[in-house]
Formats: sequence, structure tokens, C-alpha cells
Amino acid sequence: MTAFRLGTMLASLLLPASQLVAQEVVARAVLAAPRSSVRVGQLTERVAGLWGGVVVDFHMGPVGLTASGARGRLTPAAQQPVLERAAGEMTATGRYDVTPWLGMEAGYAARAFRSAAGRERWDIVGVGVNVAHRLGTDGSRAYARVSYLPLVKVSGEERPRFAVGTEVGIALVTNRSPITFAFSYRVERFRFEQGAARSDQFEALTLSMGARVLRFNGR
Amino acid sequence: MRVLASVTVLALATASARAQTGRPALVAGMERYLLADYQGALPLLGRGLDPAAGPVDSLWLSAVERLTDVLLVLRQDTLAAAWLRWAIRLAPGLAVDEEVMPPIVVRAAAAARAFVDSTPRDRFVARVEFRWPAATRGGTFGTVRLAEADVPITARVGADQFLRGGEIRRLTPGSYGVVVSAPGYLPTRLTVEVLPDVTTEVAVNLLPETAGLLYVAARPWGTVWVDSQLVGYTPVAGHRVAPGSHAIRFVREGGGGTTDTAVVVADRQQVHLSWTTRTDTTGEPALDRALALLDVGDLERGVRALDPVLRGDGTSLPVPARVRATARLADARWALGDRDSALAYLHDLVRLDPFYLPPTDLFNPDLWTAYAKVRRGSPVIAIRAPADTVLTPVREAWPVEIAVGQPGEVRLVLRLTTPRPHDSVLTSLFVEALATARIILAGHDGRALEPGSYGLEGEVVLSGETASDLLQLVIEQLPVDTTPRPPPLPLPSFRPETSKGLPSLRAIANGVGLGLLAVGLAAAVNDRDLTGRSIPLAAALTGGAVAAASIGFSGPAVPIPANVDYNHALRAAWQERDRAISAANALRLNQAPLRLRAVREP
Repeated sequence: MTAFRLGTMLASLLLPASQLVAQEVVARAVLAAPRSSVRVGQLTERVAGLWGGVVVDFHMGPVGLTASGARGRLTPAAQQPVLERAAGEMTATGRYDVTPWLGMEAGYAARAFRSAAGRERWDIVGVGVNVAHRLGTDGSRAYARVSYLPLVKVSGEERPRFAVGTEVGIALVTNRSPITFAFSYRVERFRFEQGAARSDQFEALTLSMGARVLRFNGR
Repeated sequence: MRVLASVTVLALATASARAQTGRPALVAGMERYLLADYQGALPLLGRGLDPAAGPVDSLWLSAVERLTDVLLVLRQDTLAAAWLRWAIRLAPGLAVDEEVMPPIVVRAAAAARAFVDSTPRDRFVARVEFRWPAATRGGTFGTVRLAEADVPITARVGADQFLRGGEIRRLTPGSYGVVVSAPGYLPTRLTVEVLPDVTTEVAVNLLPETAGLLYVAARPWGTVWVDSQLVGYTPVAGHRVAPGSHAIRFVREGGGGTTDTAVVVADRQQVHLSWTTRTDTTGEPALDRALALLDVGDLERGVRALDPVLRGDGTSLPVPARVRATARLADARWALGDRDSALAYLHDLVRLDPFYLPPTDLFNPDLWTAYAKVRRGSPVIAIRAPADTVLTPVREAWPVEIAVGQPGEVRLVLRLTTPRPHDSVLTSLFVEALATARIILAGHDGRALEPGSYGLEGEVVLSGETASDLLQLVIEQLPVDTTPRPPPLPLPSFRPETSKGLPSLRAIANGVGLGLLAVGLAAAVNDRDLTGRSIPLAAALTGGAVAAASIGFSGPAVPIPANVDYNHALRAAWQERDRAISAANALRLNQAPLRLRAVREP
């Protein structure tokens, strides 16, 4: 309750100041090449594939909200006795830009895999920092994000002991059109208890393209 | 020697003063007055005022003022009042010059006029004449003489003096009530002034006790003669006539023709004559019945019927009906001799509707004079405007009618009350009675008034008091077609104003560094044992992309002058078009018709 109250107070402090600032909505189609690596004991399995989805960004002054959804299929590398699986992910992230180049963020991601052997669901809550470097044109930037994932729940498994993630990439915006591009690479690493003898890594190389709509002073 | 000469001159002057009469005495008295020789001026002015010696002109009127001043200075207030009353009866239009005479004289004249107004004289029955002595006696008494008549008459003068026809009595100067009576005749009462050394002769022609009463109503008003004797303006109420046949002449005002008729009056009969060609109707049955009585000359019954209606629930009657009825009631009261009541109704008339001007065919000159005087003394104001008007601001003016009782400077303030109160328009003009102010509905900056609720307050500032009236109205701006503003120029219509030049070595180093940082960060999190690679291929790709983008964007911007000029011209043309449309729209909006509705007149 205390955290909720604190959050409400902070939000109420931020919202009035942002009512008159510019607003931006970006919608992009996503094409990603995810790759999941799992080692259990001495056995390592790697699956990779393609998935597609949508990501929507909303920015109002220093505050940003991002939601995304993607699904696809992951297939094992050659000669690996691993089942092909369907995979999907949904994320929701909130961000507050302390300065134009530094932002704090927190997010939630739900990722699921389904194969003939069953289902596995990951619920991930993370907090992190985002550092951006402007690339010449308005809105174009290179960025790096480092996240600590303190709450990770894996269905049918124990919670990981330690989990971190990082993402690096570029976002390009053209001055003369509303088209935007993004290219990024994301890595999440999960380490479980020694007794579980399990280690996981999830990566995704993502290319996205979309359009943005800007709104200044109510116009 | 010098003393002897002075005494001789003074003696001669005194002798000369005693010898003067008529106009020379008046002129000499005025000169003495100007020299502040009040004792010397007093007898000269008294002798010179003999109306038989000259016309009642401005010199005569000035002499009355001076004589009054002299008597007041000499503390002979009663005598001053007697002279003033006598003069006002002789010249009803006498008005003291307030700029020249001291206030005490003005006040004395007002008191004398009030006394004369309250003691009218029936000139058909009694006639009073004043005879100045041929030679000055310098006495302090006056004389009253009752002229002989065909019947044995007696008169009581004051409280205890009784005279028979042909007798005289010496009295101290002042005003005296006189009652003349004879057996079988109606007594008559009158008030006369007794002046020093002057003989006041009272002649009466008493009417028999069986005299009838004549009432005459007319619209348009006219003048009435009975047996070639002027009675006065219509309406005539209760004029006593002896039983028998009488010739009546009625002359309509403004050369409207003369009507002669004869009436035979029986003993104590009331005769009603009416030359009414225009009747009043108000739509209120009670009022219309009373007005019909007035139209036929039955003034007393008409007044008795009308008075309670206006005094009772009259406030519930429509204002136009009340106004018309009040005017008729004032007219009837005036004819009946109830001057105070008539003046009170005239006051009501002005307050009820300052815009109302009595019809010229209704009020006779006497009543009209009284009405004008009442109106000019009433501190009232009323404003009115069309109930629903559409006009173009700035070009057309909004007519606001103003009516005041007492003339004065009228200020009109149009005050915005909603949405935020502030004064908008101020107009000031002098209004004598009725005026029309034409208000331009625009502010000082030439912009049309903004829509909203307004209060129009008219205020007339008079000496010591203020009267005001308020009119509430709503101003709406009627819709007007405006040209839509041009849409913003689409981005693709602009040409790129710069091109990227070759990046510097430092920029290349920065880009490579950023790419390596990206790769390093990804590699730091990567589990080489798990993925089988120290640096995942995707991390290398991304790092390369970061480095390439950073280097690619870091090149210096090289302006393209042709494109800059093109874009500038494009923007300038758009802005010019936008400004022209904005200006045209502003002009149209400023000239958009305004609708003004008077929503409430408190």
C-alpha cells in the first residue's frame, strides 16, 4: 500500500507538468531473430528462429510507455535432438528520462514456449537504466540498456538466482517523413541455483520499421 | 457755507422725490436703490408701481424686486409680502432674477407665489381694482372699499371688519380674506392685498343661490366663452352660471374652428358640454369607463372612478395604460382646481414613463406649463433600445433613446457582465428632455464588442443627486463565413537543405568506439559456454550498425544554397497566403453582424 501511495504521488507530480508538452506515438512492425540457449547438466540445447510482432511507443515529455507483442517459431540447430517449438512474448515497459541521454525504466515481460513436450512460461520483471547517444538528426540515437531482473518466474522450475539483461541498438528517424527504423540486439542471461544445474540465455536481433505521430501543444 | 449748500440740495431732492409719480418715480426709485438710499427709494418705488401709470413691463417687474429688497432690508417683511402678492396677482408670470437679487428676495417671492396659488379669485364674481392717490401722503395705512351693488351686500374683511356697499375702511397693509354675501345669493370669498396709501376696491356680482354649474370637455382642447366673457381653457369644471339662457362659444385650439351654442340653465342644474373628437381607450374596462366619463365632461364622477383604480391595484396595470390614465387624471384635477393633486399626478406621470409626452391636444397651455415645470424638476432618467436588433459593428451605430426629467449630463456605460465584468463603452451627452445616443459597438482599438451579457447603465448627474436606469442585453455574434487557413506544407514538398560531408577522423574514432562499446556490453552479458561464442554474431552486427550509423550521421552538414532558397520561398509564400487569409478572416469577424437583444428591463 505504501508503494502504491508513493507511486500515485509521484505520478500526480509528473502528470501536470507534462500536460502541455509534446506527445509522440510510434508504432512499428517488428521482425526478430530470437535465439534461446539452455544448459541443463551437461546437455545444451539451442533453438533459434524468426518471429514477428508489433511495438507501440508513447512518449509525453520525459515519460514513455512501450508495449510490444511478438510470436514465431524456434527450431533447433542441425543435428540437435530438440523439439521445435512455438514462442511468443509480450512486454510492457515504463520509462522516465532524467536527462535527454539518461533514463530509468521498469518493465514486465511474459514469454512462453510451447512444444510437443509441453509449455514453459517466463514472467520477468526488471528495472534498468537507458543511455542514449544522439546521432545527428532529431530523434535518431544509439542506445544501450542494462537491466537487472530481480523477479523471474519460470513455470515448473525454480526461480533463477541471478538474471540480467542488456540491449544495444540504434533508432533512426528521418526528418522529412514520419518513418522510423530500429535495429537492436538484446541478451538476457539467467543463472539458477547450483542444485538445479541450469543456465539460460535468450537473445534477439530485432529489426523494426514504423511510423510516428507527433503532437505539439495540442495540435 | 458748504453745509448750507448740501442741506439745500438734499431738501430740493427730497421735495422733488415727493413730487414724482408714475414712471419718473419708478426710474428715480431705481436710481436711489442703486445708491443704496433705501429710505429714499421706498416711497418712489411705491408710487411708481401704479399699474395705471404705465405698462407692466420689465422695468415694472424690476421695480417690484427692488421694492421687496428694500422692505426686507428695512425689516418690513409683512409689507414686502403684501407687495409681492399683489404684484404676482397682477403679473402671474413674475419671476425674480435669481442671479441679481439676494436669496432672501427669491425666497419671499416663492412664498408669495405659494400664497397666491392657494387663494385664487373667482374673477367672474369679484373684481378688485387698486387706486393710487393723486398726491403722496406717506402714510402707513391702506384703504378697502366695497363697491355698491344692485342688492344689499355686506362684506367681512379679515376677522372683525364689516362693510356695506359703498363703505370704506382704513387698514394696515397686508393680505385680507374677504367674504361678500347677500340674502338669496351665493357668498363669495376672495383674498385682497391692502397697500399703503392705495385704495383696494372690491366689486362683486353675486350669483343667485339657484345658479347652475357648467362643465365643458373637449379634445383637442379649446377656449370657452360664456356670454362673451372668457372662462378659460377646457376642461371647464363647475363654472357657475345664473339660471337662464347663455351663449357659449368654443374655439378649438390651433385655429380648429369656432362653435357657438346656447344653453338654458335651470335652477341648480349641471350642464355638461363635450367637444371630444378623440377618445382614449386602454383595454382596461375600469379605466375605460372612467375615461368615458371625463370625455363627456363629467369630471367629478370621472375622477372619483379613476382615482381608486390608480391608487389601488394600479401597479398591476400595464404601464402605457397607467400613463394615459394618470395624464387624464392630472388634466381633470387641474380643471377642478385641485392643483396640488394635479401636480402630484404630473410627478407620477414623469416617473412612470419619462419617455411619455402628453399629446398636444390633451394638455391645455396652463397644464402643459405646469407639466414642463414638474418634468424639469424631476430627477429621473429612462433608457430604451430596440428589443431585438441586428447590426454591423463599427459601421452601424446602435440607437439608444434617453429621456430625462431634469436636464443634465447623461453618461451611458455599456458594461460587460459575463463572462468577465469590465466597462466597455462610455458615452456622455447633455440631454434636455429626449435624445438618442448612437453607440458604436466597438472598443477603443476598433474591434467589435465581444459577445456576452451586457448591462447598459444610463446615469444623469444632477446637483446633489443621481438618477440611473439599467437595461440588460445580450450580444451575440452571428455566424460569418471565413476562409479556412492553408494546411501546413507537407514535409516532402521541402528539399533537403544540407548534405552530409565526409566525417572527420575523430568522428570515425567515436563511431568505432560506440560500436565496440555496444559489442562489449553484449559480450559481457553473453555466456560463452552456453552460446558457444565469445561474441555473438548478432552483437557484432549490432555493434557494426551502431558504428556505421554514428559515423554516417557525424559528417558535417553542408548547406545546399539552392535548396535553402527554394524552401525559404516556399515558406514565405505559404506564410504570405496564411497572413492574407488571417487578415481577411479577422476583418470579416470584426464586421460580423451582432444581434442585440434586450432581455430584461429592471
